[in-house]
Amino acid sequence: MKPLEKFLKKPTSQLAGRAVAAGPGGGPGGRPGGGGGPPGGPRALQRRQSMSRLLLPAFLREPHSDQGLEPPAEEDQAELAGVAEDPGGGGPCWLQLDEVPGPLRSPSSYSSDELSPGEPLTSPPWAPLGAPERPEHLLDRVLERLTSGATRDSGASDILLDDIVLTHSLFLPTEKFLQALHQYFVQAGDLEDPEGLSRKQACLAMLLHFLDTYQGLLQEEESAGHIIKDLYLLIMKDESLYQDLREDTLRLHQLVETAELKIPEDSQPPSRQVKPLFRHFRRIDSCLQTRVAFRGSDEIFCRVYMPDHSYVTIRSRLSASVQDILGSVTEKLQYSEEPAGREETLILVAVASSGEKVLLQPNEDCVFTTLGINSHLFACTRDSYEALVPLPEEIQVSPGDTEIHRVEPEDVANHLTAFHWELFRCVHELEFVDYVFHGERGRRETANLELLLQRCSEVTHWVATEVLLCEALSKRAQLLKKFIKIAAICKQNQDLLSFYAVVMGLDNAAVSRLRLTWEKLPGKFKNLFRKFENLTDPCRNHKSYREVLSKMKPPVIPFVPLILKDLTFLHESSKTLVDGLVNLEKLHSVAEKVRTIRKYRSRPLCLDMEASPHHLQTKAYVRQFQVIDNQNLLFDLSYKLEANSQ
Amino acid sequence: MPEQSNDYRVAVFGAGGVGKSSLVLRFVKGTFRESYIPTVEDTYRQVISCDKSICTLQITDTTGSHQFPAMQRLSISKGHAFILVYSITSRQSLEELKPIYEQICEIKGDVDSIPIMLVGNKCDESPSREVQSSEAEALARSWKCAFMETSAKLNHNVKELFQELLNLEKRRTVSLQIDGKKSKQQKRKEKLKGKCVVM
Ligand SMILES: Nc1nc2c(ncn2[C@@H]2O[C@H](COP(=O)(O)OP(=O)(O)O)[C@@H](O)[C@H]2O)c(=O)[nH]1
Ligand SMILES: [Mg+2]
Repeated sequence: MKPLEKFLKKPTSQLAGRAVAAGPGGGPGGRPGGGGGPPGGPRALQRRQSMSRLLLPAFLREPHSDQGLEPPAEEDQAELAGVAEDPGGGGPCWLQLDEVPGPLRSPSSYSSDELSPGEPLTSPPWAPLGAPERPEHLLDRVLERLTSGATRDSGASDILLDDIVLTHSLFLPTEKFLQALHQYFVQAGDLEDPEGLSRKQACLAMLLHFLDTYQGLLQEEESAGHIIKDLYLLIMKDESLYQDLREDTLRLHQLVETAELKIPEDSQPPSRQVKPLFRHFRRIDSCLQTRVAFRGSDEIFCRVYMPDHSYVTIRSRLSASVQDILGSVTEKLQYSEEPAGREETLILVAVASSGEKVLLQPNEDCVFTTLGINSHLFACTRDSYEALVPLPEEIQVSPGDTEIHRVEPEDVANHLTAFHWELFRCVHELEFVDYVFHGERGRRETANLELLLQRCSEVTHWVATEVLLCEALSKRAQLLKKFIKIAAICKQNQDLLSFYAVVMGLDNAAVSRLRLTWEKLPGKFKNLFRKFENLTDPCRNHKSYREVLSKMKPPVIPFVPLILKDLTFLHESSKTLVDGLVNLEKLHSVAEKVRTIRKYRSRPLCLDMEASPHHLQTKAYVRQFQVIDNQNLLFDLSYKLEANSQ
Repeated sequence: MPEQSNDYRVAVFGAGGVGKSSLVLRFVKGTFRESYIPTVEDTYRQVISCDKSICTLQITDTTGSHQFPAMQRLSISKGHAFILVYSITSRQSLEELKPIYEQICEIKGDVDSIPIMLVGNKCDESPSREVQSSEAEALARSWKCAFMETSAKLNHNVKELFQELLNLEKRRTVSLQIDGKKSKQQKRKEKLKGKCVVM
């Protein structure tokens, strides 16, 4: 049985989109990673619908449209009816008071299986806060709760605190949130008064948890930094009075320091090193160094191309807006000397290797990390948009054995796991929240998450590229075997990200159609791969994958796109505000999801790896793949290898 | 990148601030700017004629700093011809060319057949001249390469610099002039300058 057949039957399959372009007549309309959309023509890109999203598996892009969900099996349907009636436990916080408006389903009207079988939607452990609150009063209410002695020490109030800090950006921008906290502190009353004291203690607890959660991210938020500084000074004025809180205030002091809050009076920060984001500017040694997280204020180099493939390298902040980028290009090219007529103004376009173009809007920011693997930024005038052609493929078809034929599967797998652990660790918890719940409230940089997603897609294309560049049939079969071994070891490493990506690469329609190659595979490997395919099968909302995942103890590298899918589902299946009141159950569910990520990373990953020159070479190879991400080209290669395998 | 035999690649080297970018931009766009923007790596493409057909002249403007040694090696190994720029107002900038020249020799092996032009830029600033033409000429002789003084500011010898460099290429006939139709860039440049270029 051909590995792909199963996927193609399912509308949710990550490969369904590709299947459209799968025939020999796939044509130039096919796009990497599948997905429809009008071809050609300037297409305004919605804020945040990034290129990397376009490259993600289709199931992430269409998170939960009804047809997107696997119809529940019969026995599930019976369950579904039961669950829908009774949300169980403490019940939803606003449902009791408000009627749910027509089309909106409350989160509890979904069966837990529909949402996430591995982790059913749980009701908050903290007792209901009473009447639902408006966003601007919610924090006060939570602080009152923390103040009242009853729950002061219980784990429930810790969870409440965590829920609010992790998800506050859903209902209040960080700056407003901190202002409210500040105000609460100021109005808390006298310290002599036991009420006032415990109110202030609640504030301190909230601030501590906030700082603990945000850490270095705060360096990016200047105005938030000011408020924290103010509040910190206020707290420190009273310090002598918090007898039993010495430890807390000490920690506060440390946290404020580690957050390195920028103060305006301070002179400019020392010129920071430019970080290597794009391959061209990576020094040979830098790919061997441990990855550190990217921040919006980081400076990077980026090539911007012209229609004739001339390019200039600009130095830019990672968070720069399209307008800023175009400004740098214009300055470099000295366009300013010309009368800037309407038709002479530049536009910025992301062009993928397949030729797909996305016109970037002037006010969009943080675009660098949203580009597809082999996509490039082009600056051109409006009238040359249509004529833009992608850069020639960078990959070299070299005869003889390439690196992949020389390396041991164990080494590759371990280096994949080690690297992806680094990348996973660079993603801040809040990036998961911000990536999904961006939008109305403005957004923060989610660069590290985007880079991880990009890498996931890179690994997938790497597998396909290596197989399709291998011309000899028997060697190609060896390669399939090697990749299946790599997937197996990654799974053993509890690195489900690499596992998933490798399996998806082998499931690429251009690879799975190579009948002769697959037939040469020993039965043992065929069976193993079939098992892997079942594991990655999206049916029943990824049931088999979730089962395997739930049995793993940290450290675990989960298949991150699925986490985003779950969060997206949470987001779209329930409103954050209902009649202006905050849906606390939603906040809690989102925070729960984030806490699972925290759990996966709660223990360090230790892989036993040598540091011999040979190993360094493998390490360097694994950390910078050169891949073909143009599905049409992959098909071309595939048809050249095996012209017609029915 | 696949070997694009159709491209003729020129790399411009020299210390920071000597006017590499200014020379390239003067040539490609016909413009000049007083302010200084450090370069990382820019590449401009232009259609030229080559052995009676057309090809692309690819000019790579490099950084003066030694931030990216790998990038510099790559530009040298892929380059067909080289422009080594110093400023006549800085002896130091001439000194800094020596290691680059040596690296070209090392990577390319036999440099006799490779067009190399030693360029003394900013010749409009003769009051603060530190390097005499005769000295640079002598150096060029020992390097077996050509020599020229230019001013990107006054557009003196700029086009000539590139044409002379191409004339040094003996393995094929490359020329800035294209018979028949003009390239887009050339038309653009003419429009900007408001006058005709030599055809
Ligand atoms: N007077 C004069 N100044 C020049 C000339 N060429 C460049 N400059 C100036 O020298 C500075 C550095 O030029 P640039 O081309 O950026 O140098 P690069 O670092 O070698 O690329 C700029 O301020 C230019 O305006 C020239 O021919 N004459
Ligand atoms: Mg320069």
